[in-house]
Amino acid sequence: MNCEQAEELLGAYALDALPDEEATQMRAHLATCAEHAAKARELRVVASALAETVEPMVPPRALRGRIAAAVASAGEQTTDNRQQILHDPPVALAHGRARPDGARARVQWRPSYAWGAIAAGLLIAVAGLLAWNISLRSDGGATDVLAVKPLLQDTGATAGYVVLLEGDRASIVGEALPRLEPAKAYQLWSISTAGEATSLGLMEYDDAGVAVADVSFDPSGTTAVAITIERAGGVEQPTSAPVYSARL
Amino acid sequence: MSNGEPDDGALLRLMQAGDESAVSALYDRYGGVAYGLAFRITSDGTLAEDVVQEAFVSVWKQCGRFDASRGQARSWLLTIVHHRAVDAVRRRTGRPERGLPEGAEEFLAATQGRPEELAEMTLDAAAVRDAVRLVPAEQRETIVLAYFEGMTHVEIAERMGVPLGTVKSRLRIGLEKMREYLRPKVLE
Ligand SMILES: [Zn+2]
Repeated sequence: MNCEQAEELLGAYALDALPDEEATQMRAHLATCAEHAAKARELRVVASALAETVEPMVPPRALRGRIAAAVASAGEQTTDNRQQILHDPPVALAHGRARPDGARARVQWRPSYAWGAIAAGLLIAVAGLLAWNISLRSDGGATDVLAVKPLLQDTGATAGYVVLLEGDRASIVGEALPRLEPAKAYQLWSISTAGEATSLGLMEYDDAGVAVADVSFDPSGTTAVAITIERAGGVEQPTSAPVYSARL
Repeated sequence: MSNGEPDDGALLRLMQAGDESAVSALYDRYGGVAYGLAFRITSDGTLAEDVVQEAFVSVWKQCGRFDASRGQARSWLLTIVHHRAVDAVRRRTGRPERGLPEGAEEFLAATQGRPEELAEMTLDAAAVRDAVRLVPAEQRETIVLAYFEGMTHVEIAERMGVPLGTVKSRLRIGLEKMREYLRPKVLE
């Protein structure tokens, strides 16, 4: 999807009126285009304000108690839901800001996709802005966490995290990754300092519907982990621009 | 808040600390607007109740992932209500569900803007109603079909008997007009 097409779809996107496939393409464009990402956010806020035009109504009396009961039976939230997100507000300041010149030349994405833009975005949203209190989904063994890196859109918005583990392993958790139609999959790539992409496999959905992956790879010589949207079985080399990435 | 009640962020933090009664407090604050929105979309009291219940439970389950300093809890709640109501009414009318996202992170990512533009955006009902009135009728009707009927642009084009491109531009230009109207009030 190019900028012209994205421009045309801004309203439909903001109102969630795009069919799934088009919405996916739109999100992919927004991940690499700061201008339209900013416009889309703005129109989305306007669209959601339509809720304000509705008159409040007095709900049936019993509803309050039913909700309290449902909350009680939902019980103690899971550890996963309990994660406290501690982060610096400056991550929000990265939105739509000019990117440092020259960053584009730093990384070469083979089929000359907008990888440079992503990398530049990451330079702004400096790694380490986020500190996560992680409870690992893994087998409960005593695995040491070496580092946790935010998984970002180039807008600076966080979409999840990459947990680097002892023994050249990592867990990738795409908490905000929208579920794809069955014919599509999120494919993970490690990006070398030379800009070459090596597949780390596909992400899967866990019980809660969150896109996750546990991978093995050698972090030395790897500058980033990127995610593209590909056909369900995966591909040899990325065929589309990365929609999310984490700088290591 | 001036009257000493906890603000939305404080209620969120109480929930994050495991305080179930904070959900009831949030309901006392927004149950009426949530139910009004659900009823407006579903035109069905029972469905609306289910939608509102699901939405508050969803907020409870996800509260640990919602960062109140980055977004408004009220707006997030209403987004969940909206998406769930759209799915409920589509299910009832035999249309495929949309499965629209309602995750905390996704909401924050999709609506969070530069603070100077959006974070202070307080869109009160009167201003938004005025903005809607300002939009030409055919754009307004198109927006209403998308937002309150949960229709895709393709479905709207069929319903209104206009080309798809017309629907796309009506949605975009209509929202842009609303934004222009609301913007000065944001910056005041
Ligand atoms: Zn663009």
